[in-house]
Amino acid sequence: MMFKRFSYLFSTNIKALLQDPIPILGGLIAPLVMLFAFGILFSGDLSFKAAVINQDEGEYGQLLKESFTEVISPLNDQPYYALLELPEEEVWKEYEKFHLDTVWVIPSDFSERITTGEDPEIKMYFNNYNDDRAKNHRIYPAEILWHFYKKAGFNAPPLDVAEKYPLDKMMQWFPIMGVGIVLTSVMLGAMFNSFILTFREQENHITLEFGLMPRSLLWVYIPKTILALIMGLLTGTLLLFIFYLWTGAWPKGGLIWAFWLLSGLVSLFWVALTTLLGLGVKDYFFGAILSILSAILIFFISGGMSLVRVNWEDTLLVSRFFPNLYAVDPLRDLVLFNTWPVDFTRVFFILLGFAVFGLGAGWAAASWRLRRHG
Amino acid sequence: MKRFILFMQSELSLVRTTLAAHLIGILQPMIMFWLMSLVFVNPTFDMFVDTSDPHLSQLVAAMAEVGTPTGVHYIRVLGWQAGPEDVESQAVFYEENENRPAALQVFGPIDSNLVKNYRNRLTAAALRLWNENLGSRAVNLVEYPWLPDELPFILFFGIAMLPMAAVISSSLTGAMLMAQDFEGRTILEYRLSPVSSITIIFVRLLRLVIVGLLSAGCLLCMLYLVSGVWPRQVWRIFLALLPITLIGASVGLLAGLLTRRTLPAFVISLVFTLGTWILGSSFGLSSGFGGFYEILSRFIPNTYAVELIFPSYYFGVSVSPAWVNYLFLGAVTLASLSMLVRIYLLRLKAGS
Repeated sequence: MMFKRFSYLFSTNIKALLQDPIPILGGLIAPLVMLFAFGILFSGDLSFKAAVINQDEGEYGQLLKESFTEVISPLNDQPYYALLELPEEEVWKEYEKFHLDTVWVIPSDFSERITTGEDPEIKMYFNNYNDDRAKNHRIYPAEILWHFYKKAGFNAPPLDVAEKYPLDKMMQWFPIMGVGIVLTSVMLGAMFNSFILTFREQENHITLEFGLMPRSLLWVYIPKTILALIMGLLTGTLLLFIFYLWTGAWPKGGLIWAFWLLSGLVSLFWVALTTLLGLGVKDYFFGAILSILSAILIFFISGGMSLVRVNWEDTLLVSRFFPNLYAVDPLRDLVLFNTWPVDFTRVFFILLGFAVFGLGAGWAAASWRLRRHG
Repeated sequence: MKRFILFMQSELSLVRTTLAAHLIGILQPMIMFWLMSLVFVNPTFDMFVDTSDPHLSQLVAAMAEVGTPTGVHYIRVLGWQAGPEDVESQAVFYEENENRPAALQVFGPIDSNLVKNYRNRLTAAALRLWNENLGSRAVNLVEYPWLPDELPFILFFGIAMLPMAAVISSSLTGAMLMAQDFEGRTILEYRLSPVSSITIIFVRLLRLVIVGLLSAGCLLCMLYLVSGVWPRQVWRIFLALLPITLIGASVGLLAGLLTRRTLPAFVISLVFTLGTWILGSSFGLSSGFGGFYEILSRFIPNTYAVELIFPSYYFGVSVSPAWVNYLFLGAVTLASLSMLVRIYLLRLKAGS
């Protein structure tokens, strides 16, 4: 009997959703735009455009110039500088037009001064319109000069530099963001569908009947929540597939269920809030904008664009009250590295706590509202 | 004229019926910018070093000198007490590699951007030691920066959000209003109204421009509160934002006209807002990213608006000729307004 009642209510919600299927895409479209836009922005050519005016009469100037394209940045495995071969006049014109980030001028006596030990100098012109780029302009040359000293056969450094990285392949920046966007898609899909279903019930005054219902209101919430969760996971998985086509990253080896579990728990926290929103707002548009823009905001402040574990001290206090912050790095382990997160158990219970709290508080508030106002 | 004024008054008084939606359009960019200003990293990175090892003492001293000529440090050294196996982000240890002393930077599972930043800083510090060792043979790099001062990255991020703020308000509100005209059948009244259709659409555009510029104005104030930088010739900023706001408003109204339903119109407007923001120099001047992104950004109105606003904050320095930017924005504005008027008249004639 209970199962029959549940399946009836569940199918009613499905029919309500299918009456107007556009909201189903609510969790997909904004994250899809973000995925493509950030992908184009951060997975392309990030080398600084440079020109070298080599006036040197010796060989060291040429060696230095060659170093520009030989030193590879870990970011997208490209050289730090993309060297443009231009006549000197063109160089300054392009620099003035912001088409060049930096110009190095190697004077005619560069090699001579190196040989005789007379403090060789190079002029570095660079665009410092923000402090982050200025910082890069100051520390990239260290890589170039390091390489040049070795190439030119200078005495060995008093202290060499070496590195040890834990993985075979460098973890690139765009995939890190991509997983954050996929999580946003799962969350937004669930939020949006939950909001739409509830708002329609409010608009059609079905909430009045709910308010007068003799049975527990859990019969109202549970089917709707499960449907919203399924929609969220569907849209998120679709976006994950698109992400896979772009980057090849996928939670292989059966890890997809762990992905669904963690992202689903995150969604449950937000679903209850949007159920409440759907009951409260009179203006559908306001609720829709609020849901989507809030999800985007949460993406930005809850580890959507960078790793969380290694930057924990720098995370915002407010974002520690959102489950997304705790879920995003374990999801990256599953999707990008196909490894079991070392903190899976801890994160699972944290997210479970968030979900239970969110659903409990949200449903309690919704019940109070339904019973009082209908 | 009197009819126009009455119509305008009516349009503005209707704001109170959709006050919540207007507030979202105004407040969201402000809140997002403020929160992002707290999240974005500054140039000073914490770097862990095994400071208990005396071989690294000179390196630690050199690290303290890596920074700007004005004294902003790029490295803050923190002592690492554990071993390499416990490293989470990074830590520097001493090792001897084939009898050669080396600073070994052990990374945790961090992304390539962080690796780049940590690597560059270590190399910069180690290079100082090498230069000292080379003495008068060391290469001196003399800096000639473009601008007299280096302004924080968050300032540029906020500037790039100004067109977004204008568009988000005008486009989303426009989409909602136009779609609701169809859903509420108000469009039939406009068809029968003695007021010229051009007047109707003009008044609506005016309202959306006011809303869009108000949103951008609020963000401009927040930008000042966060960065402490007030722009020169504020009127130039609003002059640059005016065509952007019109474009956003036109796109929103068009979305409402074509879909005639609130949700799809909203989705189209949102996609337009997000897409033009991210692809329109959102994280830096488009020329700094190069490649496909730079080519694509040249088709985005926000790119031109950002380049027009740039001199107001950056000591009067222009990225590109103002007339080119105004020409592009003017052309796109004209095209979108023309399309809007044409489709509006067609829809009005159809009455549905």
